[in-house]
Amino acid sequence: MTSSMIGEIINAIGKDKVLTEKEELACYSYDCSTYKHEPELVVLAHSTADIVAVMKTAHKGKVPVVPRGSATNLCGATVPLKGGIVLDILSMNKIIEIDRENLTVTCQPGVITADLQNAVEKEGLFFPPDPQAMNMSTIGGNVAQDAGGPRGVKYGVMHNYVLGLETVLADGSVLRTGGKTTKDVSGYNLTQILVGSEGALGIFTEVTLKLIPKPEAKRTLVCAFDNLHDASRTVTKIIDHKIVPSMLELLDKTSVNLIQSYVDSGYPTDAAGVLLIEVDGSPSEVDKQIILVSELCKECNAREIKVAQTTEEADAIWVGRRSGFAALSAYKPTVVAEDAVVPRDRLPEMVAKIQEIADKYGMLLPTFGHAGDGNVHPHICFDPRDEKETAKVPFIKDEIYHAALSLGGSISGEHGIGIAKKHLVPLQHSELNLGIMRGIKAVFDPDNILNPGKAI
Amino acid sequence: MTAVEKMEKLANVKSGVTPELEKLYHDTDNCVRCGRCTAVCPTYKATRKEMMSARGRVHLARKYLEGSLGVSKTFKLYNDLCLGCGACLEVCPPKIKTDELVGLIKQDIFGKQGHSLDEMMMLKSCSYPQSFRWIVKMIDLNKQLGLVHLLPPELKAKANMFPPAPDKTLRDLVKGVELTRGGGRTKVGYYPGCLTQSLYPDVGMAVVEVLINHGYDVVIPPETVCCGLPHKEGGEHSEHRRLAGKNIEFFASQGVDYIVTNCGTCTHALKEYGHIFTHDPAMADKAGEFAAKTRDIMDFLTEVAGLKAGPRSLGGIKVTYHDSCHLSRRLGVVKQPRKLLAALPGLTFEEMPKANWCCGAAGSYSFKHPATARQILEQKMANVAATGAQVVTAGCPSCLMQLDYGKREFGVDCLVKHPVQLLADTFYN
Repeated sequence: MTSSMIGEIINAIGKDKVLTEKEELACYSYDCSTYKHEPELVVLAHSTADIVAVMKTAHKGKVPVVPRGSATNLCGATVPLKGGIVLDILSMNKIIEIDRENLTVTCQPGVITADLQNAVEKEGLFFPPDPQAMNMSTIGGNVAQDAGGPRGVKYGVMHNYVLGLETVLADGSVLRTGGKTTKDVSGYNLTQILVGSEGALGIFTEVTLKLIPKPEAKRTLVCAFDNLHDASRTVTKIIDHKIVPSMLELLDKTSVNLIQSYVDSGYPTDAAGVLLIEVDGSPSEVDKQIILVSELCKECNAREIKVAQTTEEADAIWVGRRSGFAALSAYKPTVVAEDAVVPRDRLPEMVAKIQEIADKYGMLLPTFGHAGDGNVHPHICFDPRDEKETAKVPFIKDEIYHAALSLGGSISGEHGIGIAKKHLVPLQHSELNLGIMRGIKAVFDPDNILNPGKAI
Repeated sequence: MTAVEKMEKLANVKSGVTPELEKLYHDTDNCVRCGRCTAVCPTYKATRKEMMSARGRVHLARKYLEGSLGVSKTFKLYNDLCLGCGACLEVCPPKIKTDELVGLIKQDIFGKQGHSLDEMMMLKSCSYPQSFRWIVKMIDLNKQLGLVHLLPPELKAKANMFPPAPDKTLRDLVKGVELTRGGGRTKVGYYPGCLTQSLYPDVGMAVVEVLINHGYDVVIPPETVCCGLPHKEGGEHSEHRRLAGKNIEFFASQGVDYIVTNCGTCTHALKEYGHIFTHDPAMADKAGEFAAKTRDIMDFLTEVAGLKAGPRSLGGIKVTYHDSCHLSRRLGVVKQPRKLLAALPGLTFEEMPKANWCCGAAGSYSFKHPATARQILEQKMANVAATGAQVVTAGCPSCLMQLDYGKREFGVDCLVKHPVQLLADTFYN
């Protein structure tokens, strides 16, 4: 970037929204992945107009721009790999409208996900997607990464809730797509093309999301198994009985032990596998479901079943799950959360495969995840100062995804591609698929200035 | 190139880094940049800048200790802008002590560059109680004469943070009080601290009255000095030890059974005395004994004295409580103030949202960084206002001063008091 470009941006949006000191640039070089690269400029955008101004200058000078929310993604999506500008949207954090009649919420992209959830829940409404970083992550970031979480099994992920977007494109033009309607079949669905685009197609400046009424009641149970196979086949058994739990999480023994030593969540530490199950709905429905789920767990040889009797007990159980990544990072300096998804019925095979890979490389691969939708997170925990351990990491990673693909799955359920899995994309997608994706990218961003070097 | 090959190789500390800093540096190897700290860091919430989060501060510290960042004005500023409140440590998965890390880096910088004129004046004035009192009086005089209006806006804001200086200090007020009328059960030494002495003598008097009402003889050594925490944090370790030594001697000569304070920061500092005389075993023993006797007044009343409130009802007032960082996080005094308040007749307690978020006072922080401190205070006052309480209480005069300023600055209609003042009110007729 030239100093005249920086001057142009400062003139357009004001000096206090621009960071140029080397200490400041250093702090925008990373996210929750293992990659780092410093930008040449950081812009703290306060409005759509700020972003338009930045994009006009960037477009003219062909300067890379990486939009950034809370930088909690796990794949390097917000690392400015080619330098240029980091465009921070955290100050655009207003909830514009909660529309109780249309069941929608419209907000700016920098709203913290949990803040939005709390705000709509006060109105008796519910925004289900629950990425585990929701206390820190932004709605804009979650849309860009098409984030999901445990509730995905019943309620789906971000893309199931995005109805409308305002997006600033690479040349500074402002695109509005979708709106408040739940039905809309006019033309191609541009909104959904933008969801999960990892900042490579445009920068969101306003998001309209679908809401649902808040379920009246919910109940949680924890059950322990003596082998992982029984735990994972319980998952399909429950679904086969026409029950879709609101959360259905599987934890292996290593994860359970690491979580328990981090925060006491009441998990049995000697079990080979633990399922955490929540059902929700009307109070009577929920009571019926929890009994049926307990019976099905028993049929699959569950050794111990504990139904939470109070909200506090239930909360403690879920706090443990949410602390999963944190607990592992307390165990080894570097934790890479892998994110494979397979069709639900292939889950037992995938879990077995991960175990085989762990044994083969002689490393623990603590695994937990949203078993209910076939999405598992084996975690590669290692010490980057240990060369031997570090050398194994790329091999373990690739084997996990080869396994997922051979079972008809995908290399990412909800974390995205970013830098971390770019090399694996051609294994999943044919040249035909990739050609179409490249074509779309070229229409939106012909000069390749938006988050270059990532995803495809 | 595979993804892992793009990972940055870990560096190491440059030569000349102290062993304490080297250890903390290696602890930061475990920072996965998960961002949990961003959800609880008051400076980050106020500014939304990455350098103002623990995650950012850890990154800067690493680069400084590795040698790729030097001491610049910006580097110094961002370190100085850490409140040291310790909120990040509570949520940090690998338990990285960012507050300690930043504290040591600040000392490292002082060691290299010395103190600025402001910092030096602050430390000097803290060393001598008379000069601290003099500054308070001068600010007050200027306000009364309307001279502060002539000051540049930043200095004017600083002057306005001070509450009106009372006519008499605690030492003046306590002169006519019969301190041994408690019945002589046990001798309790009272360490009032600089802010209570000069600005909140009423809090000090409440402490004295309450102790006497609980049947204790109260001893206030005539010449206690600053607890030394500002000097420790400023890297002035020998001055820190000098002040500590004086306080230890003053109380030792009085033969007290306990030492109480009404300031979370002072209590924390006094309790640390046990660790600072590493090269002087005789002094270390005395200091250890001193530290073991020291308690916060609310902790002392509820856990040792067997709290008893007076008969007078407070008339149905609604009260909330703000946790001082030193009291709650360093000393674990969290339940005690709530227990104390709940025991008072005619008082309804209302918990405020985020009661343990720093108010922005943080020692001299609010004076050094008024703009950031004001943003932090704004959030705090909104949480106070949300309770609808008529009285907001806190167990640290530095917080009281900040809350009092916040109340005036943001127009929140409430009184600001130490919980012990409310307890004392139940004894008065």
